[in-house]
Parts: sequence; C-alpha cells; structure tokens
Amino acid sequence: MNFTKQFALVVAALTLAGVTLAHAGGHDGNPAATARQAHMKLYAFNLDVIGAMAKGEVDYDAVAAQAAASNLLALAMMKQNAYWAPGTSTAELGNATRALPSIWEDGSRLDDIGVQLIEAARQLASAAGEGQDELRGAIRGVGGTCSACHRSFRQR
Amino acid sequence: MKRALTWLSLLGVFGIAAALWLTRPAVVDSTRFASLQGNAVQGEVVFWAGGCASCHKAETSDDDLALPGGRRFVTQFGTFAAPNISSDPTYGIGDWTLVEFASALLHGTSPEGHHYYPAFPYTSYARMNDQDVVDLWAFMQTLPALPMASQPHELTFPFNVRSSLGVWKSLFLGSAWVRPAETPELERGRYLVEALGHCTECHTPRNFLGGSLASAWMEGAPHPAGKGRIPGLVPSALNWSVEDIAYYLETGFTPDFDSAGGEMAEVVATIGRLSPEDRLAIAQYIKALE
Repeated sequence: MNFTKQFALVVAALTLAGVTLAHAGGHDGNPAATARQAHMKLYAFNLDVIGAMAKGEVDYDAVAAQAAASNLLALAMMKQNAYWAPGTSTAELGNATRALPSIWEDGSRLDDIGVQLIEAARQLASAAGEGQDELRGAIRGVGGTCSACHRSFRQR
Repeated sequence: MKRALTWLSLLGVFGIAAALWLTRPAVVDSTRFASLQGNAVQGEVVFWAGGCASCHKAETSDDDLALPGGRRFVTQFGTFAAPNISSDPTYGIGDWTLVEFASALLHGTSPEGHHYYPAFPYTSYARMNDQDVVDLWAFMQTLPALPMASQPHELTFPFNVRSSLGVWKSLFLGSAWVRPAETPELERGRYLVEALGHCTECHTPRNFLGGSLASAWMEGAPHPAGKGRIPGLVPSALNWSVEDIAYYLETGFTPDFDSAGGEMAEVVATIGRLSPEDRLAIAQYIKALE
C-alpha cells in the first residue's frame, strides 16, 4: 500500500466518520420538527436585517433590505409539506415541538395563512428596496400572518 | 333564645339587603352626554385602542369588524362566553341607548340593570373620557348586524351569583390612575395603557376573588387558562427599548424576531392599527413603569 492510497483511505474514513456524526447530530430531535425550526430561524434572521433598518437601529440599505425581503419571499414559497408531516405535533413529540395537533385537523386554516404569508412577503419584497418608510409599512402585513398562525397553532 | 335567633336572622337578612342595595348596579346620569356629538371616525380609533374585537369577534374569524361573540375564556372562576356586541337590535346592542352603552363601559351595568362580570374590562374602561365613549358608540353603530344569540357563561358557585358583583365592584372598581404621567405623551400613553388598552387585566396577577393585585401591578401573571405565563411589563421583567416595544405593537415581532402568538397576537392586530404616535406613547409609558 503506497502513501497516496493510505492517505485516501484515511480521508475516506474521516469523511465517513464526519458524515456519520453530522447525520447523528441532525437527528437529535425529530427531523421534521428540526427542519421547521430551522426554517423559522431563517425567517427570523432575515426579519432581523429589515427590522433593524425599519426601527432605525442601522442605516437603511436598499440592496441589503431587498436581499432579505427576497429571501423571505423565497422561504415563504418553499414547499414545506414534508416537514409539516402528520404525526409530528406536541401530542407525539412533546417538548421537541410547539406545533399543535390542530394544524392537522380538518378545516385547519394553516394553508390559507400560508397563502396570505406569500402575498404579504411579495408586497414586502416589492417595497423593501424603495425606502425606509415603504419597508416599514410592508412589514406589518408579514408580521400579521406570522402571528395569525402562531395564535392558532403554536403552543403558548 | 328563640327570639334572639329570630332577631339575629332578621338582622342578617336586613344586612344583606342593605349591602345589595348599597352595591346595586350604577348607571350614568341620563343628561351627562347631552352636549356631546359622536364622531364615528374618532370612534374607530377608540375601537382599535380598546381591543373590542379581540374578544368579541367570532372564534375562527379574521374579520375584526364582525362582533357576534361566542369566544370562550377559561378561568379559575369558570368559563366566560363573549356576548354579541354587533349592531343587531335583537341579539346585539343595536337597540341600546348611548346612556346604556356608557353605563356598561363605565360601571359594568347592563341595560337590564344587572352587574356585568369583570371579564368585560370595565375596570379599565371606567377611566375613559366622555368624548371617547360617545365617539365609540357612534362607530359601533356603523358595524354590521349579526343575528347570533349570545351564549351563557358557565360559572361555579358562588361566582354565578351576579348580585354579589356589587360588593366586588366596591372593592376593585375605581377610575383613579395608577401612575402619574409627567408629560402629554406619557398622559396619552397612560390613557391608552390604563383605560382603553386594558393591559393590566392580563399583565397583573389577581387575588382569589379575581381582583387586580395592586402590589404586583404589571408584574406578569399566570395564564388564567392554566398553562403558561403572561410576561410582566415593568422594567425588571422587560428590558426592551421604547422603539422595540412600539415595533412589537406594530408588527408583532420581538427584538429576537420571534413573533407574537397567544392572545397578544390579537392585541397587535388591533393596537397595530393606531397611529405610530399612539404606539410610541404606549411604549414610552410602559418604559416609564417602575
């Protein structure tokens, strides 16, 4: 066995170990719940960018505001059915999630609120690059849909 | 001995009758608003600041102008059902007079002369100024009439004895301000927080009779439905900046960019419709609490 081959084997073994570890790490909680929470964190990160400008904590920057608002729209439009999977509510997962079973009950308004969020995010994305006042004016619509969903479907 | 007992029980009956008479439901003077003209446009501001829709809209509705009631509120005293306050003359408040409306808001007294339960926050609305009462009434009459019957409350003894609320009111109902307000902005903030916004109704803990604990004013409270906690607004419990509070009331986003859930989502839905100046006044007043 020459050195190159030995090196390749070591790299392969380390990579495998790394992949295994990462995989195990990703499965700390329920994968669907973890993915949902990660999605929410991405919303929060981008809302932070535009929120800081809307509040005047940082100077308004049209390019950065537009980028964050476009990200929010992209996030809102993502197909999330796989990680809003039945059987992953507080009833089954306990403290690993705050998603209430009512999400999956008949007549749930979750999908309607999702459509409203996309519409509000679209308006935000078209306003964000236009100025601080336009930006601030469009955030409330997005916030309203966030709250509407949390009000009905997130455990207090 | 028998005679003494008879006298004692007569005295007891007389005492209760006297207490009930002394604490009978109060009404406003019928001439009090004679010189005032209602303005529905101004009344809409009062309506949003007062948060009427948060409790009186339908359970599954986003329509904050449709107020058929029906929402249920679980507390340690039983379950309260919000009544219909739409303009329907039979099922709502469409056939009320201004004086009856004012007596309800300011004294917690129904047109039939009964005490309302303080789930209806007249304990805060008692601080409303007369012009706002008149303007709100003008606005409420423009709202749609919805023919849904109000549902009864489901309360346990002794809380189901309405006449006892007169004694409760004598203990816990007043119209004095809790805090001083040193500037016009703080005064407006105080009016929105202590009167219309009725923040204290949830953010202050209650004693075993359901009265606000003055010693722990705005310090946060257990959730009346049992699970969870309502956060405090005093500085030791809330370190947000004035701008953070105003932005939260406008958009529902916390400084961490989480978003309001629970009952506070309803509050943001209505308070968020006020002017930026009004939200800033609320934030300044909250920030000035101690």
